[in-house]
Amino acid sequence: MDTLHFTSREKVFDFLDDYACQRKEEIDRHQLGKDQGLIKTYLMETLPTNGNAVMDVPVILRGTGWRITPVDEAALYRVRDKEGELGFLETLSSRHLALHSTKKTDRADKALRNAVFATAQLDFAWLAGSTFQTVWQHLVLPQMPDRFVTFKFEHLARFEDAPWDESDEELDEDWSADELIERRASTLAITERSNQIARFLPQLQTYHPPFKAIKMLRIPAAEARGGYDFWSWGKVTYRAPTFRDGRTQILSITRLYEQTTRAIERRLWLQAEKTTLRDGGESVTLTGAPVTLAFDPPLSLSTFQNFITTTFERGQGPLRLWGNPIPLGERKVHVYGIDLHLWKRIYLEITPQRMIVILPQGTCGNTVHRLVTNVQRYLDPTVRVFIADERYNDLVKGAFLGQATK
Amino acid sequence: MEQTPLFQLNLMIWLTWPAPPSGIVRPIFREDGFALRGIGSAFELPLEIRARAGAAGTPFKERPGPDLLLDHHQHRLFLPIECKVSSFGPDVPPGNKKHQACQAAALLSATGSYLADYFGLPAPADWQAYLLYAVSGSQEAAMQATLGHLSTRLQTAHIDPTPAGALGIHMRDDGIYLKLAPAASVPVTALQALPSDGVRVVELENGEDPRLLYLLPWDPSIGPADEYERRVLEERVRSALTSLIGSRLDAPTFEVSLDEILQAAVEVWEVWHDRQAATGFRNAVRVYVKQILAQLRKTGVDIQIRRNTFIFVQITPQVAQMVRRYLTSASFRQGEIDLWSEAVQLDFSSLADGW
Repeated sequence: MDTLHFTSREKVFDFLDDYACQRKEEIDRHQLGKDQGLIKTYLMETLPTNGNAVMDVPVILRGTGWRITPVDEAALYRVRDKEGELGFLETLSSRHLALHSTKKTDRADKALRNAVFATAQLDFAWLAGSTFQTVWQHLVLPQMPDRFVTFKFEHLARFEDAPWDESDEELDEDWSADELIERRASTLAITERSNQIARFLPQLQTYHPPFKAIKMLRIPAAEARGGYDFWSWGKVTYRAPTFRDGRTQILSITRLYEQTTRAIERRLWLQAEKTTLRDGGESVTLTGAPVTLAFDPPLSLSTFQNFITTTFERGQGPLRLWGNPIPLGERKVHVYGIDLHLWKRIYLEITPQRMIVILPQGTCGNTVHRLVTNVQRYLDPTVRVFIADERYNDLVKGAFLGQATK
Repeated sequence: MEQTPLFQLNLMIWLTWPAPPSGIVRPIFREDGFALRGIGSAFELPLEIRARAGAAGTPFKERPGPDLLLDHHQHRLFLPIECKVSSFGPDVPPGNKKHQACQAAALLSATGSYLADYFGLPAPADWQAYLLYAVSGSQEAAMQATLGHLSTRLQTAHIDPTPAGALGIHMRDDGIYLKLAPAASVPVTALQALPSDGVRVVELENGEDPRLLYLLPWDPSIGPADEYERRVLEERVRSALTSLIGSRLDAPTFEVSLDEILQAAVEVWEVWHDRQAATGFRNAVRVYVKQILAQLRKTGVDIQIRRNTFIFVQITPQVAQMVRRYLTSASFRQGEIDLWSEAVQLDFSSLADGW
């Protein structure tokens, strides 16, 4: 489909709406074309801007190798990469971008992964299990009790017993694919009516905690069959007949995400605050707070050591952290290092019982969402997370329901 | 491990920060309503106080500064905290103006109303102060005795001393405990009616190293006291340099300055940079940055220097990738950083075109 003739946002949205409708009809007839991709939106985060500064999209994308041309004057761009047309890029807020693509999963996922890894300006938007639980408990369950909902859970105990090795990482290339690799993953997919899921999900999660690691939640479309699959790394797959409705859901999740990210930064940033005194002298204080991830039961010693070796000594694994661990005995390390997604500083204390994280000023709050998502997925699905003295779950819930946060 | 002043200082800062309800740190100052007002904030004392101390022959520091100054707005209370590995006596050898007793006598003379007025707070007469000396465990009784001696001397000199107490930092297998000297009574709820072994403020696994992450990696007036403190500062410098370069590589041209690196490595650098001890550190970091720039130039990166700012030019995505590869290499990550030898601390190459 040649999209070059689109000259307005409205025409692009019309095209995507028609496309979504056609694909949904094909899905319902079990005749989805072999070369037809469902619409996918990839939600991305960039660094916080100063005040209300407008995002400079060409500068942010410079390292990605993407070529963008504006569709109109309303911050919507047509995107091509070296393999050709990729989709439409839209700025959703001062720090969030969305790429809408009709390309097949393999092609689009790979393009996004390559772009995000090639630049220090972009990261995915990471939706942790707590975020999905909040949307499920406070929106889907009360308002759509009879609708079908899909959950996908996935916990990969990749650091237990044996160190992460290259083959693990190679296989994990599929971490973003919709199709699960059953032989490598402890996974479960449930599609059931909301009120039915509500009856067994809490017990399921109590008896088998790995099912707290939610990898995907399908939020039903309003007054239409199907829904929108929200994946933990910020990808949304449209399995409903309208693009515009799906985009509305994405905008809501983006607002929730942005609010929690800003709250995290406001509370956590380690920064020196200087005051000039009456006699011209200067006083300085340090403000900030830690993120605490509590592991209960504690990680086994081998899991702890494999995690440290993989992440820092070998520079592998899912967290993409960098630094020299300073050992403080066999069961404790301090790392004054870097988060390689956005190349910002991060300080960590890691023991089998906990991870304490300090974010120096300027380090994106998104780092916390990514840590929580990946720690739940790879280390401890029952991890309890605190932003300063508040539960991460409560922070997300407060933002979603408009309740005052600290 | 042996306690160091920086360990004690960081512990006290952690006790003013928010923490999870069931976390390993119990922030007793914060939970009581105290907030951190300043680190190493010095203030001048009134002339008449200095005159009276001088007339009585009481050794006295004219411009004292506690390691930490906490305040409690609701209770209108200042809590200056001084951290010391060991207690010290009240007597000062003749001519030794740097003796710790000089600072202690001066801090004892700083009343709450004076401090409130100095900082420009409303209703200064309503404010009170309580001086707290935190010392290594088992030193608190001796420290309390010194504070008592000094208070008596100040009274003799017609200076009304502020109340003071000594707090022992006890490290045990299961945690860090704070224990007041027997004669002390501190206006911090958790420190009143203490159990006999003190209040546990950090919970530790059996045998766990008691160090928490260092929020403040360095105090130029002390310098690093052990291998851990050297490593912390080295890694802070390395990560600061890595972050500042790595995060800017997507622009065709960008600048990084030496001061930015120092500020990122030591958050309070902006206030401490003009201290004499900081000069050696700045020189040493300059030498390290110079070494790294030389390595980057060998790979073909065009880096221009203007005073203490280095300008990366003609950065293409390929060059950016190459630089990132270098910054994540084991050789860079594990490369030695010398911030301590005389050769780097006294480096004067910046006076010429040292880059």
